[in-house]
Amino acid sequence: MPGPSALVGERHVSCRQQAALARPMAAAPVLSVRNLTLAIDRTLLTPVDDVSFDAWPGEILAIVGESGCGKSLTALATMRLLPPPIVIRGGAIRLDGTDLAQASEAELRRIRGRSMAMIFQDPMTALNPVVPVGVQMREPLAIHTSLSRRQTRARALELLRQVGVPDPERRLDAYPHQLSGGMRQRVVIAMMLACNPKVLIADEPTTALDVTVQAQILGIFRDIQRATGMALVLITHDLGVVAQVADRVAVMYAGRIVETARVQDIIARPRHPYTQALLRCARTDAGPVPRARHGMLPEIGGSVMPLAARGAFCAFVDRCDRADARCQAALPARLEAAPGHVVECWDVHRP
Amino acid sequence: MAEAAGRARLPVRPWLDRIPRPRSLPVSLAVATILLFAVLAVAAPLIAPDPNLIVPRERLQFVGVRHWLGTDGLGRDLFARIAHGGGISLTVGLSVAVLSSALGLLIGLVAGYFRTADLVIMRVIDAIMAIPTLLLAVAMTMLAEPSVLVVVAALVVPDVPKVVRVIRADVLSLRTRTYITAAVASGTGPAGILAVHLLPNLLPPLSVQTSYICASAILQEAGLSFIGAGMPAETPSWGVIVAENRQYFVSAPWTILFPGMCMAALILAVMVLGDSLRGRYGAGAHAGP
Repeated sequence: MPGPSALVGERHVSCRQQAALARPMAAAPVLSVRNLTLAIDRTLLTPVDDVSFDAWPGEILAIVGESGCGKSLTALATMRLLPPPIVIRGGAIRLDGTDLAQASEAELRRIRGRSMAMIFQDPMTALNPVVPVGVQMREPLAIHTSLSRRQTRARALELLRQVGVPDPERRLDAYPHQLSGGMRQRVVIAMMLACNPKVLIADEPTTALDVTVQAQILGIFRDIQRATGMALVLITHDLGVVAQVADRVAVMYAGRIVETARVQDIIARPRHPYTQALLRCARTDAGPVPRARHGMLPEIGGSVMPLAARGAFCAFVDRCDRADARCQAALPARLEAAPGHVVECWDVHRP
Repeated sequence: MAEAAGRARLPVRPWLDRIPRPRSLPVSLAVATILLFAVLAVAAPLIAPDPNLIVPRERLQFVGVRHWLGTDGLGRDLFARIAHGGGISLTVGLSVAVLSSALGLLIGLVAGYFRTADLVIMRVIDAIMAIPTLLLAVAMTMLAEPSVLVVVAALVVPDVPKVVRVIRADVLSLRTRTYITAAVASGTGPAGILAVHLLPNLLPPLSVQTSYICASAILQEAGLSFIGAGMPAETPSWGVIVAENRQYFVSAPWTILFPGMCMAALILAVMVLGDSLRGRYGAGAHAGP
């Protein structure tokens, strides 16, 4: 693994590294999503409802949740890449003061890949099978910088070395199917880092990879992010990944962020009943796997409330053992239960 | 381990390696046939008499040393005429294939990628497809002086919609791929998406389509010339040769047999080539997932 100084273009090293060392450095989050609501067009259905989160420079924010909770849609919306029937119904996505929710296509084109980049889940499909890797890697550089052909090639080689691709000269001419899954994800990461983005959104970047490769990729994220001071928004359903790399966690359930806190606080002291139940399911190190119920692993009873059934009440109400009349009557208010620990649950409001 | 295996398979010259080489006997024969007609068309003036030289004394002669493939009803050398006609067939086939593919590719890309343009373009395409090919060709040769140019134009117009439909369908399916979204996510504009990401994906299916258009254009040119709506009457196109000699069908069958056989051979060769392209690039033969 190359040292941190090799991880960024030389010009950027000094200021960015200083910033990374002086933590908590920035006075303002680089990406600030406020009350983002996504709807299925021409309906009242809102798969993502009133979501707010901040990504600070130099931190890894993990957004966790089960399949279908809206975390991928949130990521796509942040890049303004929502697939057709889904539209932004309200809220703001502020990147360095610019509201992306209001930005024009031309503005977005300047921002995408330069200020903010995104990594997709499956490295098998994120690269064009009929275009050599090098050509694809040089695309963002050709768009966003004035580097010459030779310079973009040099930069691509440098990036490949940074993400630990051996023999990068040959890889540049290779087609994606000639690389392994882990290698492909490294190429994708290198491609997205090409222009030193301030925010990198990674949508389940390690889900399609096996565990050893997953650990390597997470290590690369950690190193690069430490060295460049960029903010990383890591979308995942894997609590192991969260515990391993994240600084802060936002837990999503049924389209809402129900709890946000520093990772150690979430793991040590989860407040929301859903987070608690989730951690009970994941935690096998806290003791032997409970054998009381015929050797079954712990689970959360019931299933996620369907989109059409959700309304102005807590969506977790039918699976929650602490639910009462208030939970049925109104959406829980946000409460900062401890410094930096925000929870959306009526139960936490109780004295 | 995986790296070592990957290294062994990496191409040193990726583009050179992608040039299709004949893989089987039929494909080799097809390539040889096409080349033969091309060479004959170019070399005809050197090895055969003037295709339009009328020698009434030597009319309707059978295959011989003086006239390799005999003579027609006006005593013109059939070999010279067939060799010359092959040149016309190849010219028309290739021009129609290249022109309609290029136009169809361009229009199909725009129609597939831009939703608003799609509505307009596809209605125009539907309208063109409603015009019968033969009627259009006859109308065009009536209005303009018959020539290779007019025949090519008359065949390109109805062939463009076929290409547009294939390309548009492919673009519609490709544009939902993750790598297209990923390219958009890194700031690539529509032009970059079309040129860098979609075009390389479309060339294989297009090359298959192009070969079939070429074969059908050769046949259609002969057909149009046969009914007098194609090449001018004095030009030795294969269709014209067959039309001129059909009255000698019983007395001198070789006068229509030879051009007919040549036409069948050339079209078969082009089709075989197209089939081999389809085998390489067609459904399921894409590189990677």
